Amino acid sequence: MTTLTSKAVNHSVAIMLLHSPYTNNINDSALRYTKTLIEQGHSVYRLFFYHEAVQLASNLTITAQDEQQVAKAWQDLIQQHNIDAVACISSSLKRGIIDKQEAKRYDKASYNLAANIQLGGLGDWIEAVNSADTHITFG
Amino acid sequence: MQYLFILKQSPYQSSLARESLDFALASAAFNQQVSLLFMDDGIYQLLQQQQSQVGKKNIEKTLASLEMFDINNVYCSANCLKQRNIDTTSLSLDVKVADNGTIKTLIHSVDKVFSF
Repeated sequence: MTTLTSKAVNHSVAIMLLHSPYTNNINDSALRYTKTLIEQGHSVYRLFFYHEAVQLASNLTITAQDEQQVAKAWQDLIQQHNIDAVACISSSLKRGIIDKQEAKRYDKASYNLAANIQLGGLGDWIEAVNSADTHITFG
Repeated sequence: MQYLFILKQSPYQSSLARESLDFALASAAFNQQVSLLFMDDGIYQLLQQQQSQVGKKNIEKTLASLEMFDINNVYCSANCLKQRNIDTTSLSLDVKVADNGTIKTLIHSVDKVFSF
């Protein structure tokens, strides 16, 4: 098993999210972790949305002013740090998170995948796990 | 790389059991060396004669295909079996029953661990 030491120089971490914001608050921890990771000079090799976490990849969420904008917080972070962000295509499609190409393929009225996030497969996650210095899953 | 999947979800409560198994199978398909360890409510995935009434894909059938994916190291926790009063004769697979010491060794012996 690989572990990060506190004296490490830049480490790359592959991060998997599993849960949607309203069924589990673990994404709060994940967000703080990811921000701190970057602040400390490390990098996110890839951010992978699996299972219910694909909900975070929708560009259609509308949140009340006094509520936490979870999906937006992730999408802003991805944008700000140019993070390689992938939503698992099979988890996404069945949950109604689709891009333009899939909308056309399946003749759907619209699409909602956030900019800066791509649909991909488990192969992308496996490549990230094997290439990054370490990986972490939230959930 | 050697991957260990620690599977703790009951089979039909949510889709996470299936999605974590899909990840394990995909890893094998992508040429990783995959071991599985069933613990906690994941033990229920191993039961024989599952007849899912809720329209979900049968996990027992998926597990029957593990050999085809070259996944031959399948463990389950001795403690978790005992806690649930389940005997290996009720299981659909030939699993290696592991005590906590074996589990600890197993976790340390692989490159990557995924726990669901």
